[in-house]
Amino acid sequence: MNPVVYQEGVMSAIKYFSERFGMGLYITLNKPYVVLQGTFEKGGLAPGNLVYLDSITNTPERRTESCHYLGRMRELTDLCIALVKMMSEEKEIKFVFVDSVSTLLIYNDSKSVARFCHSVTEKLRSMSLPAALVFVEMEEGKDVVAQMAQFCDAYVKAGELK
Amino acid sequence: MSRRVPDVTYKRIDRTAMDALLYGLHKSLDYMGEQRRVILERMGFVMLRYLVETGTVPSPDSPREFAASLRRLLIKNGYGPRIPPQSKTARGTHTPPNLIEILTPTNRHLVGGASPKSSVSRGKEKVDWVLYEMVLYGMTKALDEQLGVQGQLILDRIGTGMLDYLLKLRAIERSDDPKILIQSVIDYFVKAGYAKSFRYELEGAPPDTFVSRYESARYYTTVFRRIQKEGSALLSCPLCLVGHSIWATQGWKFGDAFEVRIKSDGQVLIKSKIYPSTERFTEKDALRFSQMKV
Repeated sequence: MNPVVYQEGVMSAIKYFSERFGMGLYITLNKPYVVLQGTFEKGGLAPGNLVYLDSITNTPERRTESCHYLGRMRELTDLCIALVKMMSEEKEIKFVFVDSVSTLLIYNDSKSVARFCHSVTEKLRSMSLPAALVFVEMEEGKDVVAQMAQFCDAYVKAGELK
Repeated sequence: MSRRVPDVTYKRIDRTAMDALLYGLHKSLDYMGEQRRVILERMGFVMLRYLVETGTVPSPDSPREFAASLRRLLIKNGYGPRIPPQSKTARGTHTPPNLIEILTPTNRHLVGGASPKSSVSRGKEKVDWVLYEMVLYGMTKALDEQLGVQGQLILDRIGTGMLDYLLKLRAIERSDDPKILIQSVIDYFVKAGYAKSFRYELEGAPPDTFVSRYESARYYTTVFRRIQKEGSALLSCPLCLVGHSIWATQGWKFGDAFEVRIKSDGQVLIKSKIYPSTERFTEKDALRFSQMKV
C-alpha cells in the first residue's frame, strides 16, 4: 500500500473482507485497538464484525470480549501462539487481516518476517481461511514483499496518486 | 527559600542541525517520488498548528496578526529571503505558507537526494529551538496520524539522511568504529545545543537494553512528552535516529522504550530494548507453529 493512501486502503480492504466473508480476526501491530475500533465505526463497519489481536497497545497481556491484548511489540513466536489460541476460541472467524507486516520490520530482520508471513499463510491455508497481509510501501523490506508475492495467491498494489 | 529554576536553558540550536534534519526528511521520502509532497504538506500543516498551540504565533482566526507574527519569527531566524510574497485566495483570506519549503536551505542541495556540499555549512548560525521543535513535532505527528507505529521506519531513515549530511559537511568525523562515530555524533549534538550532556550504556550480556541519559534535553520535555500524551509511540529524537542508523550497521534494531523518566529540568533516562542481528523467527519456530493444533 502506498503510505499516502494507507488508511483509506485499510478501510476499503477490511470492508471488502467483512462484507464478503463475515466475521474476521484483525491482527493489529500498528495502531491500538481502541483507535481502530473508533475509525472503523465512523467508517460504517459494524462493531461486532471483528475480533482483535492487539500487539501495539502498551498494556499487560489480557483478554476483553472483542480484543486479546498481547502487549507492545511482542516476539513473532508469541504472535503465533496467540493467533492459534484465538482461532481455537473464536470458531466463527472467517478471515484474518494482518495490519501491517511493515511494523514487524522495526524490530525484526526481514528474513524472520518473511518466514513468519509464510508460516501464517500456510497455517490459514490449511484451515481454508482467507487472509490479507498489509504491507506499506517503504524502502525497507522490499525483499519481504518479493517473497510474500510468491506464496500469496494475489498481490494487490493500492494507491497510485491520480 | 527560593525555588530552583529548571535547567532547560537551550533557546537556540545550530542551524546546521536544522538543515540536517530537513535534508534527512526529504531523503527519507525520496522513494515516493511526486507523492511525497502530500506527506510534506500534511507535516507543514501540523507544524503551523504546533506554533499556534504553543502560543508562538496567534491563531489564524486573526489572519493579519498570524501572518505578521509568523513572518517576524522566520525573519528573526534568517529565513526572510525565502518567504514568498503574501498570497491571497479569491475570497481574500491569506493562504498559509509552506514552512518546509521555507526552511529547506536550497532546493538545489536537498531536493532529489543530491548531496550536501561543505559550502552549505551554516557555521555558527543558530535558529530558535521552537522552530526545531516545530519541525520535529510536525513530522512525527503527521507520520503517526498517517502511518501509525510503522512511521518509525521513515523516522529511522531520516536519521540515516542526517548522518549522511553531517558526515559530508564534516560536522562529524567519519569512522569505521561505531563507538567512535557515535561519540562524534554525541559531541556534535551537545555542541550544537541539543542537550547539555548525553551518555549511554548497554545492559545485559549479550546486550539487550540500551540506556540513555540526558541533561537539559529540551526535545523530551516538549515534543516527546506531548507526542506520548497524544498516544504516539514514535521516537524522533534526532540524536537517537542518527544513533539507530549507526547501530544498524552492526545489525542492531531498536524496539520499545520500556522505561522513560523525564524530569522538568530536562534530565531524562530511557531504557530501550535492542535486538541483535540474529534471526528471530527460525525454521524451528516455523515448524513448531505448523504443528500447533487449532
